[in-house]
Amino acid sequence: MMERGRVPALKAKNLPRVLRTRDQDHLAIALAVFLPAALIRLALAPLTAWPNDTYTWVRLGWDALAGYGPYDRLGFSYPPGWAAVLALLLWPLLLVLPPDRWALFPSMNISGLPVVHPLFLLVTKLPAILADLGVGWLLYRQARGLALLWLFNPLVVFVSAIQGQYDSFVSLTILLSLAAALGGSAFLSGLACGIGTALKFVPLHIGPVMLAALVHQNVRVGVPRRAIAQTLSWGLGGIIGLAPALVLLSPGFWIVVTARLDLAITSSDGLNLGALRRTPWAADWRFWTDWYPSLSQALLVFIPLLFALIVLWRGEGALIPAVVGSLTAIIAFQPVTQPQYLLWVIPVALLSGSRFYIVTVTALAMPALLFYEGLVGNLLAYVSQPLSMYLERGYAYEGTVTRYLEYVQGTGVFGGPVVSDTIGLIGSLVAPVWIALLLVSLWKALRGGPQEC
Amino acid sequence: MDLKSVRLLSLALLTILVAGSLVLLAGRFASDDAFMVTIESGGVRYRTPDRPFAYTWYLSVACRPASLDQIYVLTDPSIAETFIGNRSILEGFYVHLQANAGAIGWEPSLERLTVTQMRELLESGRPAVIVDPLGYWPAEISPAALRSWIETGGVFIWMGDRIGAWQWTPGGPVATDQPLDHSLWGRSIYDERAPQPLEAVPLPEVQNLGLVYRWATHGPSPQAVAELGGRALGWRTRDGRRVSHAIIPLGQGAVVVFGGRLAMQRGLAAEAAQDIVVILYRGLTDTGAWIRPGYSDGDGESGFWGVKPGCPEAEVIIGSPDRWVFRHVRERWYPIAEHGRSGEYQRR
Repeated sequence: MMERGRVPALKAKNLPRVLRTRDQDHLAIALAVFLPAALIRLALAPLTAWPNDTYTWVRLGWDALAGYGPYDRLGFSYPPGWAAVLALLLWPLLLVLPPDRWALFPSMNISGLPVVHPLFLLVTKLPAILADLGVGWLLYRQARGLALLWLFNPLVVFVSAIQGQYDSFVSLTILLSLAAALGGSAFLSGLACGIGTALKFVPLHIGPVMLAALVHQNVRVGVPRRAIAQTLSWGLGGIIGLAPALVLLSPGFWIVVTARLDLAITSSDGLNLGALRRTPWAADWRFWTDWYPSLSQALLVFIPLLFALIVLWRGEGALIPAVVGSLTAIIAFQPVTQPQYLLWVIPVALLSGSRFYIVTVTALAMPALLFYEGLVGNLLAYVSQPLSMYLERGYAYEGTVTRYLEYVQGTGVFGGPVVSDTIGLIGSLVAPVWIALLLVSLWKALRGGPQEC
Repeated sequence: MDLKSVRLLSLALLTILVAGSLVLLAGRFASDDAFMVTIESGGVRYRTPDRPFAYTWYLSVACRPASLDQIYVLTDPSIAETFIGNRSILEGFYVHLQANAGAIGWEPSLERLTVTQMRELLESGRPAVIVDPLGYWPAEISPAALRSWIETGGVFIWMGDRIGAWQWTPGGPVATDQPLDHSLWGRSIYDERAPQPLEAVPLPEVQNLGLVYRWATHGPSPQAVAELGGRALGWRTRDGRRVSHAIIPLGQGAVVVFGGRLAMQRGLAAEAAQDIVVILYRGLTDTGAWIRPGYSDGDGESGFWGVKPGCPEAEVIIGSPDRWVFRHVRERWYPIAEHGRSGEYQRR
């Protein structure tokens, strides 16, 4: 069992008073925190969707029923862990909802995407909703207010309960890996990292940072041999976590990953620094086409390794800022940054207790949601297509798709296509935030702890 | 943070991952019921598989030349863009063709084609399938060469707005007043005054065939297609003046025309690729193909279909286009003439 207060970052006294968990907390308070969080999500889940993502889960389910692997028909381009999680849910779903009813193709189908059935949405969003609560629970065990900041963050609610993405599942594995590393359990840290990598590749990037903390712990107390054993134990945990997903890989996986990466690298942007390329002042700057793709790929590898070295030098006191910094680097420099990727960094940033981190990552929910809005014109109408189609409430479906089509053909703030300009505008507004987070994390890590800035 | 919660949650995640992977593997490797078709005197006997859910299926008999197993896709890298702008969709389309064919166990020869190679292929007169997903007709190639090649048995698949209305020249795209339909059939295959609505509704079952590309917005006129001896498939606009797929014969060969581009708001590469695989695998370029639609509530069904093929290269194909089944099998008819009688065909 990890000692409370062993790591300065986790000392309750470092947190603002409102965020602390008091000893007299009891079930009623826990319920008051988690029940509304769960109910909000369960109410939103069946009636809302981001069709591009939720239809991918439908396709995966259909392929699984047909006996195909996740990549045999190239309809799924995520790591295989999520396919395994979905497969577990889809067979019970089949008992109450046959596959021909999983999605509806309206005759006026301008987006080319069907509207997914509410029950399918509810079932496939459940894992992410539970992961939200799991992360909330881990934070709650540290400080009640941190759980509130996570569970009621509008971006977190949107991603899991409305969009239907599973990034909070990844956040959970990152948090578990971090907590295990802080607690000195190399195997558990590796295991969580392996499970997380089976779901999305991001935990793989922070693996060296976790490992560095474990090695430092043992070297510091003068047992280098134990450091080797811890490394092996971490690796074993990682393999065990990753193995169930590895058996699902097939050549199709490399085809879809290569195709997506090629496309993403050539158009690297989103809610990151690459978005600057879409602004007028960068239009003729060949840096973005000739240099930035390679540079960003290099930084994606180099920065987490740099943080790992700092942790190796400074010890586990530097671990949390190093993880925040590494995750920030991944978000800022990976080929395409979707707003939901912010979820990866939020729990660790909250856990740090740093006001700067807490305020920054919480505030980022706003530009992230505006980014979604900018992609579709009317976010509320776009995501409530299941409500329109199945319950005939809210926005009329035909009006939604017509307005969406008109919107995407419109002109943006820079005089170019509206979606492109929105990415450029919001991405470039957020870019300095990523730089600030990176620099502050570097400073904190070098200082060996999450001191206030 | 307490390690007890960490242990518990990690174990729960690992259990979910292991269980889910086992479910997926079980689905892949479980020996299950399959479509079956056997050729008997006077027709074909078929069987559909048991499934825990409903699905549609189609049985067809078509004259299917071996040249349909040789597919070329025009992806010339010197053509800077497709009609919808982004070349990247071409690679997605190509790999989806491979994947869909592979899924049903079909292994056609599939190759990318440059404009020069396309011209050489047309001049060779060797029947094959050429897919043009660019939405442009390469201006360097004479439509007459295409026409001659199709008449000798070639199949040309067009994906774009009006067939050949835009040409790709070394200087970029150029509109032409002599689109390919005029060059190939001497007339328009479109209802020139038909609106271009976004809505599409399915054609009757025997024509819909479970085709998944639904865009009829720029599609040909079913009436014109019928007048040319062709067959309209898939989907139609609500007013019925345009369809999503048309197969029009020309000499020994045929032209397959899609009712729109490879992409609109998002890539339709997967849908178009699935339809091309189904059309070619079934040999539906034979516009006289017999097609029988079926529906299963999940229980396997056996039956006999009295049908006789009309050519020496006939094949019987049964399968489901529904994504939650998507399996096809086929059986070849060989002429009994080889064994001493003429005019009939049997299974070898």
